[in-house]
Amino acid sequence: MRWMDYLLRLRLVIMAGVVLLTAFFAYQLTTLKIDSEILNYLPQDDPLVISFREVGERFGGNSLAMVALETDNIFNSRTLARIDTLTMRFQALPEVSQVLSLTDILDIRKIPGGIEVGKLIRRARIPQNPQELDVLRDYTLSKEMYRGSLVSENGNIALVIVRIREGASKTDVAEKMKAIVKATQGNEKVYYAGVAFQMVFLTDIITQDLARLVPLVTLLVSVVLYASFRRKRAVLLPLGTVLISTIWTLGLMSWIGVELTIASAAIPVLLIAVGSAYGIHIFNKYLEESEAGEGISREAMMRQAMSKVALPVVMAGVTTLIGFLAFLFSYLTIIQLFGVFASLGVFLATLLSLVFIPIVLSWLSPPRPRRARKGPVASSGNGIMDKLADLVLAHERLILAGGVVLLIAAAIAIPRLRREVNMVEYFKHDSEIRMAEDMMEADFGGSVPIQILVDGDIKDPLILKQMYMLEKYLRTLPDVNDPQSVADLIAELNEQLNDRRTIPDTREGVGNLWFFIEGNKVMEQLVAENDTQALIQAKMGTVNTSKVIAVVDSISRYLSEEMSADLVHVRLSALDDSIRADILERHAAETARMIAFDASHYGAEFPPEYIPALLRTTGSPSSLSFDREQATIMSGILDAYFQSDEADLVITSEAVVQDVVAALTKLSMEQTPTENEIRDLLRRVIPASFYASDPEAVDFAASALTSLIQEERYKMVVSRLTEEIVESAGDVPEENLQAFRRDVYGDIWCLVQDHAGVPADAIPPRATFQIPSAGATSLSVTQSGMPIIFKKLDLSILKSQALSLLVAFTLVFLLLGFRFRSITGGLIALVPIAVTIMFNFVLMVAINVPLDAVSVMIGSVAVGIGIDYTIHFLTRFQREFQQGQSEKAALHITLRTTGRAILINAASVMMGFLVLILGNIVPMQRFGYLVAVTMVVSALASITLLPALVLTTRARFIGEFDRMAEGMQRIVNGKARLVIKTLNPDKRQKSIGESS
Amino acid sequence: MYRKSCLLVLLLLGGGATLASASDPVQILQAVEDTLNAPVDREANLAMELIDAKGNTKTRELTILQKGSDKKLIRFLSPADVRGVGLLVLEDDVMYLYMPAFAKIRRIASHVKNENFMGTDFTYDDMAQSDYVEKYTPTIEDETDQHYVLKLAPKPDSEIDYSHLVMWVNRKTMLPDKVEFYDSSANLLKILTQTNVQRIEGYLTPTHLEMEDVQENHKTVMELDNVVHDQELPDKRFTQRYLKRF
Repeated sequence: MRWMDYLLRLRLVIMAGVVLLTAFFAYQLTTLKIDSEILNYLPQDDPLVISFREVGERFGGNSLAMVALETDNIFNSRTLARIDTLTMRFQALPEVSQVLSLTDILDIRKIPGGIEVGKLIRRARIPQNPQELDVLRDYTLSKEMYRGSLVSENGNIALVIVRIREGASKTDVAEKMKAIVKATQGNEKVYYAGVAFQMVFLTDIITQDLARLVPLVTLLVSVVLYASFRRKRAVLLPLGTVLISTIWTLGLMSWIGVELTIASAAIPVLLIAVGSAYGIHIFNKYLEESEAGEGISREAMMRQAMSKVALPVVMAGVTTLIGFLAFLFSYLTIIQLFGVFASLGVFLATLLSLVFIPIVLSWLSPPRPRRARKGPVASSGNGIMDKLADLVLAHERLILAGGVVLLIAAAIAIPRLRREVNMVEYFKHDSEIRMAEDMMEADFGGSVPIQILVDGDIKDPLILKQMYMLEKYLRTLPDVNDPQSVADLIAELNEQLNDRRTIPDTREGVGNLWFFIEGNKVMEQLVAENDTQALIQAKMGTVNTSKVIAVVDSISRYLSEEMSADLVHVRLSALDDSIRADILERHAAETARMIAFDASHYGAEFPPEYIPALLRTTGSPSSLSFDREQATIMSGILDAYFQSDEADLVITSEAVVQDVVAALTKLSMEQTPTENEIRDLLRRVIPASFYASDPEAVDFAASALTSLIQEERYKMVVSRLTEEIVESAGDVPEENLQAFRRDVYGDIWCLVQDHAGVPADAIPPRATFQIPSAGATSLSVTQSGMPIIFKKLDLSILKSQALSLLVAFTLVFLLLGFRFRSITGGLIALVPIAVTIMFNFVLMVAINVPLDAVSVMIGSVAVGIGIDYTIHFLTRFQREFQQGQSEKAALHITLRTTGRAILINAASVMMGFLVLILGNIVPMQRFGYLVAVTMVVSALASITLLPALVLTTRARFIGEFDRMAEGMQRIVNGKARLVIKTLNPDKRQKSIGESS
Repeated sequence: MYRKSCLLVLLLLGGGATLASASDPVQILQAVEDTLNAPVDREANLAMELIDAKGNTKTRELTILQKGSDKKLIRFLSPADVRGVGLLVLEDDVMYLYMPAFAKIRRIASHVKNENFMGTDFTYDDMAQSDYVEKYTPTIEDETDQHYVLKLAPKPDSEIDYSHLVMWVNRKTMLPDKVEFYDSSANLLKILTQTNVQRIEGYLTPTHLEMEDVQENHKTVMELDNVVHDQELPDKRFTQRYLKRF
């Protein structure tokens, strides 16, 4: 033990170093930060993380912070004034890119002949009297744009949505927002929702939990230690060791700028509960030596104790290290970091136990012997342990069968193991943030955005149409709400200005509508990079990871199977009839699909084959004839044109107007007239005197009337078809009927348009020459946003679990195989740990606890501590057996001593972890009780399953089971029949005596 | 929507009212307005460049026709997808929009003045800066050899989003050489600079304008050419009927 000499010689220097380092790291601890950013769970070069951040940078930030105000009716002047104040103050924050609220939102409404563009509530013009407020309430709640996104359906909750710039500290902004809200007056109930507030809340509760739980664990472990040893130093030394190593570990993290996460926040409790065992071993041995060898010098006593205990302590430390180091292979940064620093902590705790405790003890006077109470190992429990031994001996096969049953149960359970990666699930159901998120889900469709990035020429109608269809598809998915993109904005503008909610078929049509929203702030979130990128966003209405993943998978499937990357513009009127028929057929199928999406969204059901059949009845919209009723409508419209200020021909004679209208109506009823036909008609019917001064007027009029008549004819065709479809979908709920009709009308409108898009690979070869090469366009679509990151996290957690266990098992096998110089030994030693971990998984499935960033660590704790039990048990059993004890006697002795110690250790570690139940972070709570159960199972497995396995397999590494070659003796012992083989008769005699 | 949307022209094509000697801020501001409002009618081409923080550039070309204070017509020439789009502004807060792609005129009513116009850094309000005296209370911040520096505070009822403006009025031309716009939290938001002032048919006209949004790092550059004043534009040029003729 030369190192002990050095240690004792340099003890002053070493202790000074320990004190200085502790002071230094304790100081560092004051600046330890907590990182609650879920993106940091993943490596920062992960393509999804990069894409997520890029989307954030390009589209004005993708983190939302939401403040909701709840009162009986938010449409009262005080609440609206408060919303207005919040909106303005939030806007003034430099990290905020945009604020949306009832008091700052663009409102577009239809007026005769056009639209009115305004703010829903004009700046500094908040209505004061009840009537005005009621009008505002009714109007706001009637619009899909506001209902369920800025105000709840029943008008009792209003939302202020803040978009945070990429790169800004979300928690800082959220804190500032909270301060702003607190500085405003009002009786409304306030909710804080969204990722930024979740992060603040998580940071807060991690801090709180650390401040509360660490002292509690320390206290509990102190009580256990004092109860066991009844000596102050037995409490102070082991505890001091783990506290110092905790300070060093966390202090180092802070010093090198590693922030604490939800996973590494478990390190202090973990170290205190697990790491104090090393100090206890050393102290216990020292106690034994001091009781045995009175009169020896303190240093000599120390040397003796250390020579016996150092190796087992190092072994215990190494095995625990293995469990945590296995996490280095995890893909998740958060788990890797936990692995690194938990290992470091264990290493430091081991090292300090071997250095700090002996040095301190070398200074202290030897403990006064207390023979009356014989240390931690009392004899009161021997009876129980003996009975346990007998039970094991009697039912070894039953025990093994139990193990096998557990493994089968695990095989069934593991595929059913739920995973949870959503931060919201970390919070208790009655916590402020959880209630806010539940409210967001119930009243606003959720707070987590799905994002789909579209690359391509966004102003191309074909691309917009693909986006629009994708949005319609998104609406059909469960838990997906309010898809938004520039495509549906264009469709909505088209409805406002042209009465059809669809994407215009030409680039000019798109451009003319786009004109309205160009430069609007909302565009920052919808298009980027000079209109070559667009974002489709929708709200995820659930925080349940498996549901989120189901949505992510559905979207991925749609993107890869249903969307075409290359499209070609065609003009139907320029094609041969046969080719046109082909394309129209495809067109009808596409329209049918859109209608089916709409139907599903609005709660209708359609036999899928029904819609195309119906659409085929359209034939060519240009050559349909109309009835008398429709003729009346047409003449009314033509009359209105001639009476209006925009009439290109000014006809002052009412009689002439009537003649023209009648003639035009007649011409229009059988088929769409050409511009020339109309011009001829105008020249024929209208006296030249009306346009003599402005001869061009006739041409302008002919052109205007052509479009007008064509559009009216189309409207009639589309209306008729829309009615048929809406009627046949009789089960649409009343409140959805209007929106359903509007959407179907828009869908069918695509059928009458001349310009269409065809996937490049669907163009018949004979048609290629008819299609201009310039008409090709392409797009690529990628899923981004939190949900797909959740999916990645979910997969990574699963992989982390599998890989860390695999690595840990391999290392343990090597270690134990080496320790017992036997492959079988290594394998047998693995079994109790494996069974323990399997039990944990079965339990998790049985009580529906998910695998998450914290519970993924249970396996490693089980490995780290479980191996100690296995080693202790096997070592003792092997020694007893090899010293000549019968297997029965060896088992009895082992269980009375080591077995008992194992149970005590498991109980104390269990107590330490159970403290976590008092915390506020749900995964930590679960971790606490799961580890507690695991400890018990692990201890039990190593004193029942392990001996049963050894006895059944008669593994040679333990000793020579067939050493009594001359015969076997059956000894009947009450309940059990067992076979004992011993080498010499004396020993046999002894064992028989013992067993009787 | 924007009764004064075309009054940008006023701002751009100012005449040459002069001010003998005055340190009365209201008089100075009135003189600026008079200078801006001098011509009877005007027609001009406008080339705009919109430059974002990454240096991406978009260009817009349009013509502007104006007669008196209640007849304006803006016609877009490029990019192609808005070619022919026309805005006819006749009365307060109402305009007519012609969309050639749909061969349709739509009436647009609006009271929103603080939205950016067509992706530029000018809000509709910025473009309507001929009624300074009505909307702002000026105070003199500074007087230099070249400039009166005015601070313009919005009048209480003016529904203006800026906390204030700072305007550098050129003593010789009585045109604003530079205007700073401060947001509602009194942080500098935008800077307008007007240079290359030419005398066209007797009216002093800045032909190069830059508006820079210093918060968003976005810039709009405008070049004016083919400026014609007082050509007695007929009223029928400002009708819905003519709005469609392009």
